[in-house]
Amino acid sequence: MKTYEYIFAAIILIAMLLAATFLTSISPSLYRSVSEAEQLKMAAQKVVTQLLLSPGEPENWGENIDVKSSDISSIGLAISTIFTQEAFSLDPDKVQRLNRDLPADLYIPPDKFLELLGLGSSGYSYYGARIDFIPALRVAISFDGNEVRVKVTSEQGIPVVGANVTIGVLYVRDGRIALDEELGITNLDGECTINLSSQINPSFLVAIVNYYGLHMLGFKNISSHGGYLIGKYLLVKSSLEVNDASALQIIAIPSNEGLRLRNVTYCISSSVGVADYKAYDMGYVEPNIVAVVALTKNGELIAAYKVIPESYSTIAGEVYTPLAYILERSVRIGFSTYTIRLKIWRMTW
Amino acid sequence: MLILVHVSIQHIIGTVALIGLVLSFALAYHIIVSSIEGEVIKTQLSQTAEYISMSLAHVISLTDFTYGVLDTTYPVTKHLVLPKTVSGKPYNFTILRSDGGYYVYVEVIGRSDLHAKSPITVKSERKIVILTNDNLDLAESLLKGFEVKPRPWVSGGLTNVVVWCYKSGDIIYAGLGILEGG
Repeated sequence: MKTYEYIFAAIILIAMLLAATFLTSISPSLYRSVSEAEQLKMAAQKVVTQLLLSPGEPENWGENIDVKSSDISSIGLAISTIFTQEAFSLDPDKVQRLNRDLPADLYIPPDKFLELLGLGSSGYSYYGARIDFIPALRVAISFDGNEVRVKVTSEQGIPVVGANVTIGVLYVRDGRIALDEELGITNLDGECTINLSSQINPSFLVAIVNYYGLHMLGFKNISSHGGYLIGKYLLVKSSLEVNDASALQIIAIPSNEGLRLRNVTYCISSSVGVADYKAYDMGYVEPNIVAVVALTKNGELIAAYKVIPESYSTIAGEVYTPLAYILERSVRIGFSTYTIRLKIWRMTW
Repeated sequence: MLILVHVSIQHIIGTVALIGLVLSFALAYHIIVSSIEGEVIKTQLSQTAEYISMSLAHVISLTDFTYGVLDTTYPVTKHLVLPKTVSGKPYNFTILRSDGGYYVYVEVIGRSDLHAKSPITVKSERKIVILTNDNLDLAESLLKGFEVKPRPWVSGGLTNVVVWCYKSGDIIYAGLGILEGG
């Protein structure tokens, strides 16, 4: 053999090695993609099972404002009951603890959330997750002049026709809180309109929509002070003081005409505050509570309700990951029906 | 004569170099294939670990929902459908405690470098106790007289592997085991 023939043989050998390595590495990567998707699917099912079926520990961690995120040993959003449990029925107090707008002491930060689910530790996350709370019906309230308009659309934005709407108008009259109630049905555009008397100057509007048993709440703050309703506590800004040590719980009661709004007065006592919020203990919360209202010393209305966040994510903004798994479940949060969409992905493989 | 010797040496050097090249390439290929195989096995182990931890979460939720405040009269079990081997290699698994959380840990027998773990989302706390190797005695006393036998380590080759759950008082106990006669 000539020298160049040896060199040629060596080049052929190198080419064979490279080709063999390339071909060997192709099929495992395809298999791995399928397997990784399958792993994410199982991880998502595991997380959904824990979040939607377990109340967590302590079981009342949502309603108890003394329980901070560091006091929670297990996270779950299911409602806590003693005897019977209803699947996919979530505690609105626990869900609203995922709302970023809450005082920092009450908010559950995403890294803690992942840690409690075993998906991260010491600030390092193995997984990323995003939960969207999608209302089954979208209720938008607008107020113009003396006209209150409630528009009801589906998840996809299609007008909902023939839905029963109960509108509660809250305002201050002669230094006292007044609640007027109006009933209506949505038209072909999914709208229900009522005209208020010119003597009424509403501060806060509540709408309950009932569409073949599918319930959804809507709120519109016009001139009232906002607050938070967490468990049996009414949280208001420290600069405000509640008058008469009393608050009105607005509750929904089923009747032959549909859901009706009623109010019950409760004495409140000042409790230990949270951050720059004063906490007032109402002692008891009606099971069908929709909102709670009170008056300030200046005679202005304070209104609070349970705020369900639109989404909760470990990463701010929209998430675009090459490989993620999405799981949806229909749940009931308090009065309302929502679709929970969980998106889960791995930070590292 | 001199020319013939020169040509022979050239041939010997060239042939030895080629043989060396073939052997080193075979070794390199073996190393690459082993590395890829290891990655594939780890992926399969991760999938197995996820499946076991998901099954544990399911069986605990099922027990909690079904029994509520009542005690279980019989352990609730879920049969695990697992591969006998992972890429032809036998494996086993257990539940470990690490960083305050519990994990399903799966490894190839004799190859501790080939392992995977999956977190158990259900926290072991006041109401739910996940039993591991550390408290096997408790598991054995709970399941005494039942067909389910708790195991600290379970071989993947077995066909009667279960995750089990047993509620006694206010506490739900869960762990790995095998079903005798199953």
